Amino acid sequence: MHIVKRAARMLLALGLACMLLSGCWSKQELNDRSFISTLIIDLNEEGATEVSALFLLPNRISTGLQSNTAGQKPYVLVTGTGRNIPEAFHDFQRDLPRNVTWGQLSVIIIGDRYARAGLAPLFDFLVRSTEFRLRVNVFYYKGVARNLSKLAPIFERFPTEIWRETAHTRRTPPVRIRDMLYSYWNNLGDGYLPELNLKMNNLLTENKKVPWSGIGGAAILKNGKVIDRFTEEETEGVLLLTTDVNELLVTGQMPDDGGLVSARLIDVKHKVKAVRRGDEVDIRVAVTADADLMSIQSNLDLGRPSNLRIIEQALQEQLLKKAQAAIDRARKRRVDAFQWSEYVKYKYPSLWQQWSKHPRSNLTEKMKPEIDVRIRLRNTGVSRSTKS
Amino acid sequence: MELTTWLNDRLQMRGDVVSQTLEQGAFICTVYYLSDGIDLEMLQTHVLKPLLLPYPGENEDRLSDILERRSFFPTTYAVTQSPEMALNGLLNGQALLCIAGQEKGILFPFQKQSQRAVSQAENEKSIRGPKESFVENIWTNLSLIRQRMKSEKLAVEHFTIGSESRTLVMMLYMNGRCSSELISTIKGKLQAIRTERVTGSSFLEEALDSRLSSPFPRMLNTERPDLVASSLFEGRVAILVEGTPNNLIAPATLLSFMQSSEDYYQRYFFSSWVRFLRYLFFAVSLVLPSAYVAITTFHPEMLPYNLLISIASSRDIVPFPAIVEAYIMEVSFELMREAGQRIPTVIGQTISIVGAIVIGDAAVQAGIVSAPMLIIVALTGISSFVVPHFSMTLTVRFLRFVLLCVSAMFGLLGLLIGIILIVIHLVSLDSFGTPYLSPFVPFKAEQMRDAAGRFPWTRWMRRSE
Repeated sequence: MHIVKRAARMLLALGLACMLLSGCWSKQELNDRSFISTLIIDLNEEGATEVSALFLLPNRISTGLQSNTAGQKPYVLVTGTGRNIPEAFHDFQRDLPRNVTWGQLSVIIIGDRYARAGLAPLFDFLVRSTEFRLRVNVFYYKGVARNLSKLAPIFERFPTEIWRETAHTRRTPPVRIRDMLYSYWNNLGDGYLPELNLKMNNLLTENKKVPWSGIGGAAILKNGKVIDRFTEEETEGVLLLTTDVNELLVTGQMPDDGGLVSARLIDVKHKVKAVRRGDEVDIRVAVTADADLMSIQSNLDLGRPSNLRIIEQALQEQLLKKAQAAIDRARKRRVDAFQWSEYVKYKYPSLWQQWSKHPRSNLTEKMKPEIDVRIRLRNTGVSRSTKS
Repeated sequence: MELTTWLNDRLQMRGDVVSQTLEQGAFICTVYYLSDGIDLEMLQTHVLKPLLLPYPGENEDRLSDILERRSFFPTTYAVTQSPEMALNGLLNGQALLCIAGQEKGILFPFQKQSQRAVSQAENEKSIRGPKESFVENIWTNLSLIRQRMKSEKLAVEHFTIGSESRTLVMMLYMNGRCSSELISTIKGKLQAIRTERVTGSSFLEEALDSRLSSPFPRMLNTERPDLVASSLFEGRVAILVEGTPNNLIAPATLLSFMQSSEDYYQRYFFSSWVRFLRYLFFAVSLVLPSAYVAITTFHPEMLPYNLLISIASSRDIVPFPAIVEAYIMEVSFELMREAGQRIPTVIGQTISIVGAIVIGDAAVQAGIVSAPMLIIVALTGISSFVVPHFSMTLTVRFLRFVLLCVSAMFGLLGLLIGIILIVIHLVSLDSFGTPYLSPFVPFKAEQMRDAAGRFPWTRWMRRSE
């Protein structure tokens, strides 16, 4: 009996303790939530912020073998307008039957007009909200960004997945909100945003032209504002300088007869080092990669190591050209796009102290980037040239 | 008082006691036995025949032959010192001989008890190990153990517990390997039991338990003689109870509930791997439904994007909250399990097919439960059977519901608090002086050879001294 009494007392105590916590009931069923997967931010001509959210619609997603939702898109874009982001967001949220959950947000796309007006209000919104992760990828669109949602997601179920995969596969240098917030609060607020584009693509199997979203160049950010754009070639250079890529195609020209040579780069790695020389700082970027030869138009005897060096040289020059072009544009616009100021700041704080009055001019004039690209051709396929 | 009259007084109601009086002049004696409870042929050849032959000497000589020299009957027998002992022997199935005018009786061990043959272990199956299992007869069980350890260090102590049932209980241990404290604790507790009857080993398990409020069992019960034998070698105490095919081993730690006898018959490599899986699925069966409910209702941002889409879309038409859904499924799973024990084996298969189709497929099709929840419950249900000892399975089954309740109220925070409370409880628990989580807490490096995994035998098996 003693045990029964004790257990009853324990249960009573627990029950009473739980009653005190009745206000803590924060549970929400999945059925009562709606999930934002992409946030699109534009500025209209009157200067009002337009926030569009791409919601997942679980009720339209077919699971398993049932496919009862043919022809219906499993996502919806809802747009609201306001003076700032929360107001615009509230504009559409009050009409929604479900609560908004931000946890699955994975892409933010910023329209051209908003980006040029300055991203400070967005940064402020992002840094205050704890509801989403810092791993959200950010993109830029040259135009009204919400038009991107017209695309037909042929390979995936949701447009978000298409955009997210471009960053995952590192076909374009990925930027996450963490990177942007870091650069805005720690450094000069410079950087770049990978660009998405939209074009009509004539797909024969679809029997029609479909809106197709792909990658373009990259927007250059200066103090939180977009001021210029890296071309697609230059963006590849940015990719080399900032990102470790698993796979990258490079095509160059042979020095002797101008024949094309293509190789697949594997495990592209980069290393940045700052070296002080008196008043100046050398930024040394070492890019290394292995390469597999994919095609070559040449009579070279690929069995000879010296000939391999020639091919490697040709590929290296090609990559160097792209990287140099990216650096040149950034220097021309006096932008610290690759956060190299940080190397000076942490390695040579006293020098940074001297520079800090005019950081941009100092960064442009006294910082000398040196790029060293090393490619090791590890596999040539058939070790014989095409013509012999 | 003369034994015959004393007995006749007490046995008036026992219609199954046969008594037969033999008279040879002044020498009158009575044979008592339980009808169909003894070997009659033995009685005839070894007792009745010598008695009925004419005795050449005096009656006093015959009496001293029987009681003192014990040379009269060509068989083993015991002379009782008290009438109670004579009665107990008789009711235990022995044949009793009383001689007129004597207070002492003579007991002949001619019991013939109905008993089941030693059969295959049903609840603790083994692929490569021995297949024998205990039966209800305590002597058969003892001999099954003795076959596995012929050491003279094996100590066997007898107790009779239950004022009316008079159940024979044996306590087995290996002299020198078992701490004297443990022996005296268990012995003391066994002797202190005051009861009318012993229903089985489960009764003793509860009677020896000093902390009944804990859901965790602290004595191992097993039907495998090899497990008892190896526990004895490890310095533990075994308690055999008459009439129960499940015998007790003490002390038992959490680890001993996770060890299956199969572990010791397969190669150490695979045994260790399987044991690791067992710990994993022990955790799964305890936590998985609670974690699912907590994550989907409180922290959906923890789910990867694509997984969330799958779960959300299959949950979309379900009318119940996730916790209700979980309780419906878990309770119906428990129902099927409980019913499955009672359903006759002949129709058992039919019922299980109906159960699987109705509970599984139809419920999902009808949109009453979601497919992910079904998968979670099925996985949990199956993984709870990975724990090799049924008494621990019951504990896990129970605690799962408690955790489900707190995690539905407080999310992962509640789940973590629940787990922490369970761990605190486990740390405070001990089984006859052995910490329940040993050798992990407190950590004993030398016992790790047979804890999370199993090292090869040759590395740690004791050699003979």
